[in-house]
Order: sequence, then C-alpha cells, then structure tokens
Amino acid sequence: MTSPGDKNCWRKIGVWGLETPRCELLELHLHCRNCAVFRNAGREQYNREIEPEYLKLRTEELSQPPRRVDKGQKESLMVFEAGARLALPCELFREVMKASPIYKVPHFKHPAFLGLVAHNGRLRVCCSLPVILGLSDREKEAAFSFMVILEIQGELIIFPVAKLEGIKRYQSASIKASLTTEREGLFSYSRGLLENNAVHLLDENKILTSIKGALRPI
Amino acid sequence: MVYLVLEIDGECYGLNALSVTEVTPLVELEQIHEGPEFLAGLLNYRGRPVPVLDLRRMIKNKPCEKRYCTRIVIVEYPRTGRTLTLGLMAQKVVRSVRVTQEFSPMELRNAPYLGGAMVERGRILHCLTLDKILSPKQALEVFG
Repeated sequence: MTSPGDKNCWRKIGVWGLETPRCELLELHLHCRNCAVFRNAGREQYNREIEPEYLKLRTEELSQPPRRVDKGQKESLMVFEAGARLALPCELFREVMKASPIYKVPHFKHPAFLGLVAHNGRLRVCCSLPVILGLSDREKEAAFSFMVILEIQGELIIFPVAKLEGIKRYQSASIKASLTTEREGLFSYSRGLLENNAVHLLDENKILTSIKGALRPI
Repeated sequence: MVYLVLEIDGECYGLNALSVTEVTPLVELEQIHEGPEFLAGLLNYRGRPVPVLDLRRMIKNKPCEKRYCTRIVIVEYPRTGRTLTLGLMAQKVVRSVRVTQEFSPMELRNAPYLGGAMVERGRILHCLTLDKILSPKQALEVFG
C-alpha cells in the first residue's frame, strides 16, 4: 500500500482519495492540495539547479528601470460577440449561462423580442442584440452558444451571444468616442470604440429604451 | 506581524515583512574581487547598484547554491539615521508566516543578528534583526 509521504504518493492514492485503500490523511484534507506532503513536493520543484538562460532573462529583467504605472481611470468591460464584437461594462452582467430554450410568445411580432427564457425559476425577457443594433434582420439561434443576463436600470434581460472573449480592463482615455450623429444602426448604440475600432462599447440605456419600444403592445 | 521565511540549510529565519521591498529571483551579480567574502556581489537593481549579502555564507560559511528557490530579498537597511538598499541572498524563500505570538528574546554575542526564536508549525523560527545583520566592522567593509 502507498502510504502518505512516499514519492509521488498523490499519483498512486489519487488526489480525491477515490482509490482503495484510501489515504488516511485525505480524511482530514479531502484533497491533496490541502496536504503538507503535496505542498512540500510542490516547493521542492523550485529546489532545482537554475538554468543559465533563466538566470540571464531574469538579470535582464531586473536591470530595467521600473516601468511607470499609468494610474488613470480604468474600466472593466466584458467583450463578447453577437453579430459584431461588442463590449459592455462588467457590473451589468448578472450571469452567463449556456444557451437555454426560448419560449415563443404568440402575437409579439417584433423581431428584436425572441421570447421568454426560464432563469432561476422565473421567466425573463430574451432579446436579440444583433436585431436591436440593426446587424441582422432575423436571429440565427443556432449560432449562439451562451446567454448573458444583464441588469439595466433594475431590469433583468437575457441576450444570446455567440462568444465571450472575457473581461478586459481599458484605460478610460483609450476609449475613443464614436460618431454620435448616426440615428440608426450599430453606431447609434455605440458609446465608444476599442482596439482599433474593432470593438463597440455599447450604451446600455439606449438598448433598454429600444427593448421597451419593442415590447410595447401594439 | 508577517514574517518572510528564509531557509538556510533547513533552518528557518524570519525577516519582518515591513522592511522588505521586494523578493527577486536569483540573477547574475557583478563580482567584487577585493570585497569581503560574505558580499555576493553587486546587483543591478532597476538601474541602481545594490550590494547583496550571502546569508548562507554569513551564517554557515558556505555560499548559496544557484537554485530556482534562491532569492534575493531587497530590504531597507537602517544605517546612521538613513536607510540604504541592501540585498540578502537566501535559499528557499517561498513562504511567509503571520506571527501572533512574541518571539522569546535572545542575545548571543557571536550571533547578534538573532533577535529571538519561536516555534512555528513544529519548527524553530529564528528572528533576524535587520539592523544587526552586519557587525559594525562588516558594515564598514560594505558601506564604508
């Protein structure tokens, strides 16, 4: 039997202790990552002879004068894809989930309104960003693999998105103001441009106004 | 109090984290051939030369080995009313501890840099007193 402390014991015992006989230390630690044997083995990894290339690289790095940290205002934005590369402030995002079925609502014919989606036991309005932004006329639902739940002015609204690139931090100064003269289409919802004009930072309030318009009973 | 733990041949030495500016990996040092033995060399620390002491040489009379866990701890060394930047080279600088109890005081004539000791996780942890790490004679050899 492998006893704790043997060489590579976690490989034989299994980090969750699912193998039998079970490691007695796992009763206490649950997973090897909490165990001192595992931790010390990890630290021993550093106890190796240093390679000359690594030494050289570090020497070079440490000899550089300190980089000036730009302390300007920063914004955390979630960058995602829905018809185009778009961004919205992180704090609007309540949840990201796998695409769920959309229940159609009869007699609501507005193309931006896709239907209702069950989320945490409640039905929420699901709208299409590409349609609102004028990027496509009709939603291609199959292309969307995720749904994001946004909270705009207290309203929870679900949007299908194709891809989530992740949270990025931008200097507020690096966000270019976009054209505001447009009255329709993507640019009318765009608050700024990022990454060489490839990403549009959207104005969430305009989107909400547009959704409210789409949901108005005819 | 948070202490940075430096290991020298299996013995643990704690350095008050308040005096630590940075922990850097081991880098190539400019050798000083006429300098004292415990002086490992001069470090180009972001464009400034900083003397680096070899703690293993000072305590164990053996130089530090060149390993990934060998680190240079950049500290502010108090000397005659001002602070000087100093590097301390030690091995296995990979963890810090939060100390709530007091170190039991200690004063040794041959090792004035040991300010006390305590038991931490079943091991003795010596407290390094930074301002006594160099004897007056050694300090003169490094800083003049």
